[in-house]
Formats: sequence, structure tokens, C-alpha cells
Amino acid sequence: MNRPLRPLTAVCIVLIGACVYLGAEAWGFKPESALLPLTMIISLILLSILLIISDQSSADGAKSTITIASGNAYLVMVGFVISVDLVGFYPTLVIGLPLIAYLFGYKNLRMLAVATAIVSLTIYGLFDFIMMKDFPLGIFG
Amino acid sequence: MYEMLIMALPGVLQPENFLAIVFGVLAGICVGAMPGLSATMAISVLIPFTFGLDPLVALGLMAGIYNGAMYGGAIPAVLLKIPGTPAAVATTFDGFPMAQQGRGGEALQVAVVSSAIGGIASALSLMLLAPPLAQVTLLFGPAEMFWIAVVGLLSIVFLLGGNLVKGLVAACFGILVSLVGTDTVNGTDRFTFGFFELLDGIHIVVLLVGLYAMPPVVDLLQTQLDTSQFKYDKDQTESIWVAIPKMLRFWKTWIKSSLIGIWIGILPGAGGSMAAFLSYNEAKRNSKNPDDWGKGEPEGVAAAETSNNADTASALIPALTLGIPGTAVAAIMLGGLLIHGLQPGPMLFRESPDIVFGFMWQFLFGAILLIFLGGSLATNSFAQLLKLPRPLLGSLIVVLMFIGVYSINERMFDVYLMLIFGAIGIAFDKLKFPLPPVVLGLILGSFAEENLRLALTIGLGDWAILTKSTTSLVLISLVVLVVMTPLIKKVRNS
Repeated sequence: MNRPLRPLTAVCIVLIGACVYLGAEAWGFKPESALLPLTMIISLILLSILLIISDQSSADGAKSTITIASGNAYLVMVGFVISVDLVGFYPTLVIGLPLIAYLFGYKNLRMLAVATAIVSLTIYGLFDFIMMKDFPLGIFG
Repeated sequence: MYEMLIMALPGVLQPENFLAIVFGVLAGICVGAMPGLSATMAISVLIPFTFGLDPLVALGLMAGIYNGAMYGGAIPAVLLKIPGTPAAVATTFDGFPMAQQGRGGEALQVAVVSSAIGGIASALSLMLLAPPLAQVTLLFGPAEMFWIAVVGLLSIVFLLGGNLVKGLVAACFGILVSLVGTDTVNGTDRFTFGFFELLDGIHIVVLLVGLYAMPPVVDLLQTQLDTSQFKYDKDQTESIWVAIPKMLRFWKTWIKSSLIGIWIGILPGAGGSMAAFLSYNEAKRNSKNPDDWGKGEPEGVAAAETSNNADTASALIPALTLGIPGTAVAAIMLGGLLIHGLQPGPMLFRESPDIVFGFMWQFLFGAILLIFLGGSLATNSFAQLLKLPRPLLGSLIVVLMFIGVYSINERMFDVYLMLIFGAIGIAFDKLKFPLPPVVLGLILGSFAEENLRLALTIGLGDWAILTKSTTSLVLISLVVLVVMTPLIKKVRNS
């Protein structure tokens, strides 16, 4: 793999970038409030540099890679959350629960419908009815 | 202090509290039986749901889940050679060969009885050791408490094994997250970026669900479980009550493995898998027929399962008395205590004795219940859990994660924050960064800072205050010991 693109190196570079940004922010704190944040930020930068050096000097780099499949599963979760925010919790639940399972290989439509009905009714009964929780309503709010 | 232990018993036996343990054990076995899911994940998803509950009910659920999951991990380990939890790896060595010989039911019975015995021993150790230790720690001042936080953090980084630099990165990251919010001493807003939602800091549950629940869910969604090796004949399995007398020959293994598990549990960062491996090797070394091990020797299952359950409650000894958790699950349980307004540490024993001692009883009952719930049901019912469709289960957990995090403050901001921590959790998981130091950093970071500032105020700004007492010097020596031990080991090995 292209060395700079190795996952560990890439993550460490992102970490250093975030630390520099946070360090600039922490610089403006009162001295006693800045002590621990700056210590941690400097430590993180130094440790990240160490990790980059060890990753770049090893022949095969970090053996673990963040696969596309992990990214897909994560994106589905992001999509679920955005959908809840936009169209509300219950519509997303009724569509999203079976859809996610279907997308990841469970194709039994009858079971999906039964499971969705049971889960939706249980959540409604427990959270809306008994615990009085208000979930996001999205465009229906 | 032991009289308070007795006084806490009636509270635990209240129907709602007892039912919580029963439900927790059953749920824990189910979770543990699903490869990829763990007690850590189950408790982190469950914690938000316990907000409105009485603390003892919530803690009973957690204690039950922890006990149940440690045994539940043995079910796929025996039947599929896939450990349900990392601590069940050693159980596969003899459990799976037993299942292949048509003795899967027997292996599961040995596992459940041994798990219960390990759990009971662990709960007793917690009851015996935590109260006196809490008395001692009451004498500690801010300087000593600062050093305790440092010892706790470093020990989980250095004793966890693996890459030390990655462990330190994880701990520093956790500490940095703990600093988000308004500085309580002088009112400075730190890393809030104009979001009023961050003024109170980042809720530990948001971090826990993101870090601990998202990576297993990703795994659950994208990987199929191979159940082709599933071999289990329930008709050949005798009743657990008939089987128990035949297991009494393992008594020596039970005692040794319990002691190993308890010791490993107390050591920060070591965890159940190390306990199981050590006990397995020790039992094999002392066996009269070591050649049979690995080919279906029930004593191997007994050794591994006793010790991985014996580290459950004992991991809470440093957690409850000092605020330093021995394992990742213990770190998450500390988070659970915090959300119920219970600050782990010596004062917990003074301020909420009914809850802290009740929690200890709940561990004991949870372990005993394993035999009744796991023993009579596991061999027939829980094995069938392996056939549950993983994508459906994964999508259900996504929904539960959302509900749990959203319910904390009823705002989407926390859910988006969870997604960010989830991405970090997935990256850390794939790149083998240890997660327990992140949680411990979050718990101990602000605690260490608070005590450091308090000590400096008492010492009028003189840093020497941190080294003035004998206790501080002992703790500093411990820091040196913790840091040097793996380095010395490395030098020796090379």
C-alpha cells in the first residue's frame, strides 16, 4: 500500500491536525485551565509522530485496514440518524429497521415485517406511552 | 462496615430489584451467546435506559448482564468454536472438541456451573476486600487522589499489553474529551466551539455507546456467522442437578482458577481473557493427564470458565474504592454509577452504603442465578440464539443506540456526537488502539485535574505538595513500577 495512505498514518495525520487546531484554541485559555489540555495536546502530537514513524518504517504497515464494508455500515447508521432528524423517528424506524437488515443480507420479508411491527409497537408502548419520551418528529413536527 | 453489608440485603431482595438481576442474567447470556456482542457493549447500550430507574434496579441489571454475558460467551465457544466474548477463547480449546464428540450439553453444564462458582468467589472477594480498602482511602488527600488517578490511568495503559504508544494515545484522547465544557474553577469554556450543548461537557454514555457499541454493530451487520459446525443434541444431555455431583471432582481447579481470576480482576487492565488463559495453563500443568487436554477435557472448560467469571466483581474492588476500574466493563459500570449521581471512590461507602453494598449482593445473586437460569435453560434454549439473523439484530441495536443516546437530554446533538465517537471507535478498533484507556481517561481526567488544582491551592502553588506525604511517595513508586514492568519484560524477552 502507498505508505502515506496507510490507515494508521492517515489517522495520525488527522489527529495531529485536530491537535494543532485544539492547541490554538487552548492557547487562549487562562493558564491554569490550559495546563492539562496543552499537556495532552502536545503529548498526542508527539505520540502520533512516533506512530507515524513506526508505521512508515515497518515493511507492511498496520495489518488492520478500515474496509469499505465498515464504511458502508457506518454510513447506513449516519443515514438513519439524518433521516430521524429530517422525517422523524417513527417513519424512519418503520422503514429503516427492515431496510438496514435487508441491505445487509436478511431477505426474509415476512419476518422483517413481523419484527418491524413488534419492535415499533414495543418502542411506542414503552417510550411514548409509559415513559412519555418525545422522539424527533422531523417535517411532521 | 460489614454490618452495612448485612443491612443492605433486604433492599436487594425487594421484588423489583431481584427481578432486575434475573432479567439482567437472561439478557447477559443472550448477549454473550451472540459472537461479536459483549458485556461491555450490552451495558453501554443499556445504561441510558436505566436513567429513570432506581439505582439498585439499574445496577442489578448491569450486574446480571455482566455475570450472564461472561457465561454466555461459552455457548458459541463450545458449539461453534467461536468465542462469544474475548474471555471465552480458552473455553474453545476443550469445549469444542467435547461438542464434536456429542458432549456439547455436558460442556455447557460444566461451563455454567464453573462460571457460577467463579462469580460467587468474585462477589465474596468484593464484599470482603472493598470495605476495608475504602476505609484506608478515606485518609487520602487531594495530592494522593491525584496520584491514584495517575496510577490508574498508567496501569491500564501499561498492563493492558499491546502497543504502549497506542494505549497512551487512547488515554490522552480520553483525558482531552473529559476537559470539554466549562472549567468549574474559573468558568473558562474549553473546546465548546460555541455549542451550548457542550458547556456541561460530553456525557460519558455518548462516548461509551459510540466507542463500544458501534464497532460490534458494524461487525454484526457485515459478517455472516458460519453455523455449519453447529452440533448439539439436547436429548443426550442429563439434568444439571444430576450433572453437578459429578463435577465436584473439579473442586481444586475451581479454587485455583477463582483465585487467579480474582487477582487478575483486581489488576487494572488485565481482563477475563488473561485470567482464562492463565487458569487453563495452570490446571493443565497440574493435571495427571495433560495429553488429554485440547481433545475434550471437561476440566479445561471448568478452569477457563471459572476464572473468566471470577474477574467480574473483583474488577470492581479498585473501581468502587478508588475509582480505578480493573476492566473495560468495570469502567463502563463506573459510568453507570456516575449517571445515577454516585461518584465512585471512598465516599461512596459513606454516602450510599445501601447502594454500594446492595450492588455487591447483586453480583452474588447474579452468579447464583446463573445455575438456575443458565443451567436449566441454556442447554435447551440459549444454543438456539446462534441461529438469530445477525443483520436484523444489528439493525435493532442501531435503533436502541439511537433511543438510548437521544433519551439522555432529548436532543439530536448528542446523537450526532455519538456518530463522531462511533467513527473514532471503528477506526480505533480496526487499528488496534485499546478502548479502555479512553474511557478511563474520560473518567479520571477531570478527576485528576480537580485534585491537582486542589492540592496546589492547599500547597499555595508549591508543586512539592505532591511529594510530601508517605502515601504520595508510595503511589509515585507504584507509577514507576507500573511504567517499568512492561519495559523490563520487553528487555528480558529480547
